Amino acid sequence: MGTKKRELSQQRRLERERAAAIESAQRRRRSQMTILGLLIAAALVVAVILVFALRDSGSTAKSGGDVKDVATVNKSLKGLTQDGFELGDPDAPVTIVEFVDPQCPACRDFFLREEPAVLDKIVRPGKARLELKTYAILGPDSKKAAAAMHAIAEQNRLFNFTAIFYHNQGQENSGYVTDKFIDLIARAAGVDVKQMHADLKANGSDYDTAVLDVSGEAQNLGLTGTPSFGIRINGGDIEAISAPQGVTADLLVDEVAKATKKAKAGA
Amino acid sequence: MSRDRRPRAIAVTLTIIGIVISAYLTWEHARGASPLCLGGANGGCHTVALSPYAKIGGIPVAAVGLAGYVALLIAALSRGFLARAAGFAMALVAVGFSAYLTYLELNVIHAICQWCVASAVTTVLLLITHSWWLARNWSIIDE
Repeated sequence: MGTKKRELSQQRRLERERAAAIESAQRRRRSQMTILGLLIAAALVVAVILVFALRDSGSTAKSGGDVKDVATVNKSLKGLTQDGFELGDPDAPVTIVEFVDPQCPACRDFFLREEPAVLDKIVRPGKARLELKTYAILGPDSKKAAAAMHAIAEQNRLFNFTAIFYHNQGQENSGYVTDKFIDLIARAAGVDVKQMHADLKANGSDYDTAVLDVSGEAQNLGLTGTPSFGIRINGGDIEAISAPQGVTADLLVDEVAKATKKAKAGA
Repeated sequence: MSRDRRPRAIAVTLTIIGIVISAYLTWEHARGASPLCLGGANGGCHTVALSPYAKIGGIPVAAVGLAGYVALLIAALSRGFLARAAGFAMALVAVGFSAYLTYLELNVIHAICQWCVASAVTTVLLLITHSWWLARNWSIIDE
């Protein structure tokens, strides 16, 4: 009888211990669930903040915020003669012709990476001058910016405008090329914005036609993308530069050297 | 103890790979150079490095990644459930952020950088490892 009672008591104790262990495990599980839930919620908040911050970084100048790299661009062009679509020594026998679309990311890359070397190695020493062609192939926003570039060329600030535009370029065809954006970049480039609008109003259709003419010219040269390059000797026809590996400042230095030899031989 | 040894070894290895990648990209960014790229000087890495998306609030994205990987390394070397859950949550953020960066590369920047791809793959492997590790620790309760 006594043994049976002891066994029963031991069984009850074991049951109580098991129940306590289950309860403790359940508490621990709840606590772990809470920790995990809170951390996942925090993770989601951090991820959303990062994504939004990165998205904002990509649209720096879209909403009329700060214009980037104005001083760098204006310094790189300081002392160089601008005449409409041309930059550099007007007497240079060779002209590098650069076909660009203002919205094109590859053109931006070229302007940011190679253009400074082109200016230092070719244009500044007077080996060749640079001519910009507004080859607007990426849609209505490109055409709009290209028309503004024609108005700005009248004020001899095209190279400042184009370079600053590229330094602040937004997402292609996202609608960032608003009048406000163009005004912002133009002002940073030292353009008389009021005059630019007056020229756009008076000559807008001429600029649009000129942009279309550039497209025709580029297509006749077999240039299908941007940036594309050509070279002109003594004001003659443009010869397209073929560079399947991509055009670099060094390649243009070589092309200018070859063209200068040709110009001398022809003189 | 043996429950943690293998996932910890994998997580630490992957995190060190991530640290090497992001430290290299941060160093190249700091000295104003483009990272070495399979596509050469005109390759996608250069385009990505020059894009406005290379910085986040003025801080290079690579440096943000480096900070994240260091935090993941601390979590991987720490013990306890909190460390496992934190590692999992951070790996989740890393995968989400890498996915958005890859989306930007494909659809906005139109260039792919192999370093970013390598980092994205590392974050996915880290998430798998941390999920598995968390599950192993979770099962303690049911025993």
